[in-house]
Amino acid sequence: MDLDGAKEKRKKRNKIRPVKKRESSVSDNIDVTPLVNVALILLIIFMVITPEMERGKSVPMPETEFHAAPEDANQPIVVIDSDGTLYVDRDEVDSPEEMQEGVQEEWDRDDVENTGTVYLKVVPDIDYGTVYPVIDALHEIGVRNVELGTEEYREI
Amino acid sequence: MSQSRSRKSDINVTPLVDVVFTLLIIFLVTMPILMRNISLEIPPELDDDEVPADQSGDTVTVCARLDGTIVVAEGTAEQSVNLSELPQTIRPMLEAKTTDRVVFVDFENSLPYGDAVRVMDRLKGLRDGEDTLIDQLAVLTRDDAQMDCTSG
Repeated sequence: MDLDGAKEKRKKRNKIRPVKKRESSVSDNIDVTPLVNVALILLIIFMVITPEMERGKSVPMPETEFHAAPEDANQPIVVIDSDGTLYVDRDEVDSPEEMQEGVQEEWDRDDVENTGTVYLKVVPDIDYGTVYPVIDALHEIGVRNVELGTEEYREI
Repeated sequence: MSQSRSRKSDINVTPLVDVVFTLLIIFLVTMPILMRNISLEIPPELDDDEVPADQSGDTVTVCARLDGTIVVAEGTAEQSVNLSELPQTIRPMLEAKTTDRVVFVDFENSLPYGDAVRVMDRLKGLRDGEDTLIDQLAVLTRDDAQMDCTSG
């Protein structure tokens, strides 16, 4: 009696099982769609933000093979654009004197340490005769080392 | 039949997720912005009279002109080379040095900055084993900002 009952139950279970199996075959995959959504959104956010993170006005720079590639040391950035316009970080300045003041102001900020180093971003097609006076002006305010910004050399 | 169809109806997104996460990690890792640069010293008070004459006689000076020639001067000896000959010309000069290997660079005013950087890149590319052969690349300070190394 008991055995039969157990058998019956087992039989019933066996009959139910295929139904259950089909249900579970639908749900045994984790739904990764939200995960993919979040990951893709993060990816897009990073892709958009990364170029924006560049300090100083964005200009094309000469390509070099043997550059140093240290991490950002928070040094002031001076930019010379293709028309010879000077920028301190992203702010346009009218004269080398104004640039000197701008760099001094950068040094006065709490998060910037005056190490006598300035990062200089210059477009490759401008004459050296335009660049030298800027280096000279930086020298006057105590800059001992200019880091000439370059980009990774790419063979075309 | 119905079972196999229900299995196939899901696109396998695992490779997609793998690629996306890999890209995400790559972006996260490259986030600390690298400030690629060629470091150029500005020697203090080069035009000062305190610089002993015998020391300044040993300095190696490179002057790049617009016409593509580069004048390499060591003391009073000068020679004119082109960019590809520059490394082999300057190497023996520097290897003979016992003190800091400093190379002073100056460029003709009309020379594009990109070409000037290319010359400096070549100099930085000189190797002494693992290290760079040149300890310091220094800008040749001028008495008059308008006067480049080709004039006078």
